[in-house]
Amino acid sequence: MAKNLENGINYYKDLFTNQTEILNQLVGLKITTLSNE
Amino acid sequence: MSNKIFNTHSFHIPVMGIGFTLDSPIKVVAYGISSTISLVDDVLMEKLRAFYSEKFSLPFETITNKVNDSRAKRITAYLNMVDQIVKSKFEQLKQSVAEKGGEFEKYMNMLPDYAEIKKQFNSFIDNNKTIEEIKNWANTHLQMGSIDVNIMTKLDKENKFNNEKLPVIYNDAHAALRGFANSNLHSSIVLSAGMNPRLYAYFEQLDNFFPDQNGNLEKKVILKISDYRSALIQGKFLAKKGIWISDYRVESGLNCGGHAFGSDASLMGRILEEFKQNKPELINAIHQVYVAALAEKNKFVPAEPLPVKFTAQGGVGTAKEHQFLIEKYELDSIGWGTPFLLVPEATTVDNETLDLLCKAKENDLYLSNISPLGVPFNSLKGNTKDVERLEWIAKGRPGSSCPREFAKLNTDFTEEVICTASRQYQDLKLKSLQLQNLPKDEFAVANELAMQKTCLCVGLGTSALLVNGLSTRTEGPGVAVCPGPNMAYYSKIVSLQTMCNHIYGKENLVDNPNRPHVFLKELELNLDYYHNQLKSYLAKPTDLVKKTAEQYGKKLRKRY
Repeated sequence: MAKNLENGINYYKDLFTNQTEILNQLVGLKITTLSNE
Repeated sequence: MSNKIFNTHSFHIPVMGIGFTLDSPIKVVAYGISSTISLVDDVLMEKLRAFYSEKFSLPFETITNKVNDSRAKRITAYLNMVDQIVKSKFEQLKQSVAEKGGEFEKYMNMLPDYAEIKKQFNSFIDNNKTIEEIKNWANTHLQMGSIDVNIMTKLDKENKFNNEKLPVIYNDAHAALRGFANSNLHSSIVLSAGMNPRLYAYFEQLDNFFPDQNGNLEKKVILKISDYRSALIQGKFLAKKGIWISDYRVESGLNCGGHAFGSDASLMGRILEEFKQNKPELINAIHQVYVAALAEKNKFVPAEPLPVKFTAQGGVGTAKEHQFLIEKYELDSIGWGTPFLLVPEATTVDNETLDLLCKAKENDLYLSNISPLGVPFNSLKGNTKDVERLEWIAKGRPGSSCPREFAKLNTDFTEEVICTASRQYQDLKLKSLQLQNLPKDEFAVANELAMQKTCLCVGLGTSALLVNGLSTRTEGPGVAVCPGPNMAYYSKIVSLQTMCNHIYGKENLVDNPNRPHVFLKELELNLDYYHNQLKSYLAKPTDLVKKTAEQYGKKLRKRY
């Protein structure tokens, strides 16, 4: 499960490399979610 | 747009609940839009068959429980009636070419500009073709959508007749499959919620799933899957029976309506990428197994693989996402479910539930514990079935009277299977909890969890009765609704034309600027799900789980 999440996140980082708005959403999402951990 | 050619629409409407899309084909298929009927509830189908037969002046003879194989027969009769009505509407539509604001015009207006049929029509207009010429063209070229059906493969309860246990082919899912097989439809059955080997084996006995001498399939199979490996395993399993998968439909595990399957956190983007990269291998591998099986059965053996579609659904909500998925992953259709709950011209949702859906925000939509199947279920806070459930609890009589019995799968306390949402089960469960001398807090949680189970067999179908003015005396008026998390970003009831405009980028219905991209919403849901899993593991950790969780947490923090 953890591995799949990690692979998925890395895939999206590459997929949205040139799409700042989506990339920002990705970064924001990880920060908020992980800070709750 | 992509290099793909679309004759009509590039979206389909997936099954929603039991009743929400039960009559959707009657509403949308004549316009070239495919939609899916749930085959769970033959009793509800029979009620709607009576209703529509009267509405369209069709002959009706009731099929009672006393009739042998009544479930399959009711399903066949309902599907045949829907087919008849849709074909009749489509014929009328084709005759309305000359009518200003008529059905033909509506058909054309709803199509995307890249649809081949629309392009041809526009060229006729540009070339000043006569009405008669366009009528002739419409007669031969216009296409309806497909009246597809859905089976949840695990909902396959055994049945009895005159107190005698019936053979396996009379189990619920088996009978539903037979009901579809015996119908006049030339369409597809969607197999969802995992593999049921016994049911899959039953396909072998149904001739119209095999190719004819021209390699055409009268009845096709759509396999709903959550990853590539599952597609390969199930595809091969069915191919060994001589059954071809005509559509591999990837559905997001968590970012979808209804039952949610978030077990391994595989994300949609990577799954679709894997399908894209491996399409030829998948098709060829399964073709090899398929032709060998057909040859052994002395059936027609196609030289080349039969056509296969790749489709996806779950949380798609903007024209940009729709187009992106089609182009990037070379998909043949995108499923649009939840937003269509706000389109009365396409789905059947009662007014009270419509109002709740319009007002729903992110926090109102949650992954619940209410399903008697024990699978997480996307639900809406404050739905009228929930209100009804709480009223029964307040009266000291938690649970449902279990009028439909489709989810009777539990034998914790009884020899006979019963449903965990039933009054009988909940009574036994609550008594057993009292005898366990649990700590107060633990008892309260267990008690609450037991009483959360909701009668979905009825709750997911009742809207079809309410909207059509039919009695809910047996069922009660409560409606359980199952929107995906995407519902939070839509807030008004719209016409079918408007929703099509939204899908194809001519209008925008998303009124929340903070709506995340479909892939990121799914990631967020998976992270939440993962964290909840961690929390529950850590509450009662094994050494291995604890170590793995801690290591993964450190790794993620370090990296991001």
